[in-house]
Amino acid sequence: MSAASAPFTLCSAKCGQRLRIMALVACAEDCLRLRELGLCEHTEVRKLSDGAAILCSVYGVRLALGRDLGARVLVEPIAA
Amino acid sequence: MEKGVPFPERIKIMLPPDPVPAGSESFTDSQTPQHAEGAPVVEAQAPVALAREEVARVSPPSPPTPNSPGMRRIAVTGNPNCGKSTLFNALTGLRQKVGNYPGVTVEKKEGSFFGSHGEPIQLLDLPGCYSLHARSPDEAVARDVLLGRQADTPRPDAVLAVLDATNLERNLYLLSQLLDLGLPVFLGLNMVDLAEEKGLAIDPLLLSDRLGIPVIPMVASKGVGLIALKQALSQATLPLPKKRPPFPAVLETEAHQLAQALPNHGAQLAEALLLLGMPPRQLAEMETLSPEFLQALDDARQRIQAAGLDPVSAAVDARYEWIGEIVTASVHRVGEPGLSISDRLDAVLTHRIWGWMAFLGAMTLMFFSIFTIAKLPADWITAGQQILGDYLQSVMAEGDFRSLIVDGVLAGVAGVLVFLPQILILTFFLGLLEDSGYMARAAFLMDRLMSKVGLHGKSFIPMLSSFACAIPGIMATRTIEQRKDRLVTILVAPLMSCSARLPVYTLLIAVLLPEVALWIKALIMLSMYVLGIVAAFLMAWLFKKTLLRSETPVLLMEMPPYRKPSLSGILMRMQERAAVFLKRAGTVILALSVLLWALSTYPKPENSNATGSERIAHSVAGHLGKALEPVIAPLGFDWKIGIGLIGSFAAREVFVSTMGIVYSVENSGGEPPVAALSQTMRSEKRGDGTPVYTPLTGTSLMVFYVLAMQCLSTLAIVRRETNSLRWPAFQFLYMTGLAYGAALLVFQGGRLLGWH
Repeated sequence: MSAASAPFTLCSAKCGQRLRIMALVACAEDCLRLRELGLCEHTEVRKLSDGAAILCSVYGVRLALGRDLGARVLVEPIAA
Repeated sequence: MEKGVPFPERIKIMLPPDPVPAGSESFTDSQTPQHAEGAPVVEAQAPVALAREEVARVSPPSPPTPNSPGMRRIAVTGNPNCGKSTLFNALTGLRQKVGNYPGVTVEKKEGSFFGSHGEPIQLLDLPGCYSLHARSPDEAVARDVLLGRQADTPRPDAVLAVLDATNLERNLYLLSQLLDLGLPVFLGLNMVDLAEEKGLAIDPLLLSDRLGIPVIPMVASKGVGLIALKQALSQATLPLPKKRPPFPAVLETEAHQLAQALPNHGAQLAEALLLLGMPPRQLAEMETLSPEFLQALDDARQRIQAAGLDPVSAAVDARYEWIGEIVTASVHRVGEPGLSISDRLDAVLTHRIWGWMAFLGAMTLMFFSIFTIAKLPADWITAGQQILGDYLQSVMAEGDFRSLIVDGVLAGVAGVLVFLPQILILTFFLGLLEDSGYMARAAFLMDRLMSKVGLHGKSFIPMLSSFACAIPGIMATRTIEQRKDRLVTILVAPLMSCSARLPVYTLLIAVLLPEVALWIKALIMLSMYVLGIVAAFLMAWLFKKTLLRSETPVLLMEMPPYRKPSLSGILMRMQERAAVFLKRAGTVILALSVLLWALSTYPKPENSNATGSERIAHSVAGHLGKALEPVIAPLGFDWKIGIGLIGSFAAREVFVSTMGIVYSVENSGGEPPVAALSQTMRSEKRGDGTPVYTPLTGTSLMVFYVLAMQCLSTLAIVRRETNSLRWPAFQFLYMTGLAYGAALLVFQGGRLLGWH
């Protein structure tokens, strides 16, 4: 894990990148649902696709996030 | 993930003692020996062996009647798309719809089966939910039944939690909430075969031990594990969970204190935890809580905050921490998780360019198939119709009764039946999209476009379902979280071209372009579907800007894995669709055909040598058509089309049968199949000798049918789903107005440009 790198949004992450969630900066309702679907702080995710929306894999489940929501998930890369 | 020793192939799961009453049926299955201490042991098998296990599908010859007094009631719950309805069908022998996308089940369904001792057990199949913090109407149904809030449904005696073994962590989150309900909980660990294929070895014994509840590994789609499940659910006394997730002390204390202030319905602790973790905006919408309770809740949340915890996220974090420990102990992963086949497919099918090309390609293929593959069976039906018509003509004496049978019943009903193959092919393709998991990808692709009109991609799933029929589409809107977004989706879903419009489009395309290649016909039909989609988007945008103004929702949706579609499941849906269509043909369309025949036959003109056109003009239908003509003439429609429009306000496909009746009356008893009908329509002239069905009139008529609300069943379901007469009335008016305006624009605009 590269502790030095500054967090960036899930939107701006590259496809195929392994990431760790650092913070959720959405409203309380969206944060609750993100966490309930497994997108909690410190969880590992992999960004799979980036187009009309964002597709990522968490706990082996593929989740689609609207780009607005993806911009509210702060992540950092996990070293390969 | 901790690496460990591979699990043995056969694992015994200990269940609490089950005192089998003397004389009652004992376990006879060879795989369920009695334990040395007298406690029965239900023996399940590890995934490797399970996949090979042949367990008969256990469906009793005649299921017991639900709601019998004293019948044990079990609620089946779990995340969307984890196989609840498949398990429900396997146990009850019912045929509840299943599919590979979240939100197939949107309301609770009841069924029953006989337990291991022959005792009747009732099952409640609840809509899938990720959490008891419900966000949408379908999730609220599940929550309310489990908490005993649903007035018409008694609280269940136990919960059967179905979990998808391929993603245990996320599925265990809901289970961790179910353990707080104060009810016995059983875990049906479904799809263990797929988990094994993914390199996941789950130890059900360890899982059962860590969770404190019975765990039954199963493959519901193959009937594997059903006997063990039935034995578990048939115990005389159902055990309560032995464990719960450990929460921080302050949260646990506050939850218990708050629970004491709630009405005693058995689920106070679960209620208290939900309320403590409820976001402020949702809490503000709770109208049933007293001011005193709200004050106590606020105090409790402040004390939790003072202890350095966020009341909304504290419980979620604690649950996931607990889940992490359980999974580490009981799941062994073979090899490193890499990109799955679904991940690779998604890289293409959700791509911003390739994804769209794949989507448009799939749609084009679907409509091309509708024209090409359906032609052969449609020809058979037409030939049968012709033979029957000729036979009836030859054996029946000339007169009104023969006219009723041949021109009314046969022309009306059989004229519509010829479109059954096309409807079945459409159902087949939609079934493929649903079962393969592609439906969710279409929603994903559409998200950016949908967000431009104020909705999110999830709203596209009900719209796509409406291609088959608007009724299931409108039901599917229950998965949409926000009330206004749901209402907007309900209002625009019937603009998507349903299968009842297929006969109208096919007939009109045959009338307008009889000689063109099939692919051109397919493209014209595709353009009608695209027009419906564009209209739905524009109207959604307008509603979101005016009547139902609200923030654009954010998309957050699980994408199911791609799966091989179940041919039997799709055939079952085709059979159901055919049954619905044939029932309509035998009831609504038959009745309307007879009525329209009578209206277009009586009163008869005094001159017995009157032409067909004169006879219809003299009839009640003729008078109705002529009364409507001044209104529809600006659209290019004559009074005979007016008769068709009147008939099809109950159901769209009646337009075809009405035209069959109108023109067969005119042809003095000659029974026209579709080709002959289209030929007759092509040769139809106005008073000034110009043809009625010009390309411009035909286009105007098709546009009218794309946009008009002509389905009483849809209006009835909108009335039920919105619990109001206002919305279906509004929907009828706006869609009829839109259809009229668009057809007017096409016809008059076309004339101004010199088209005809």
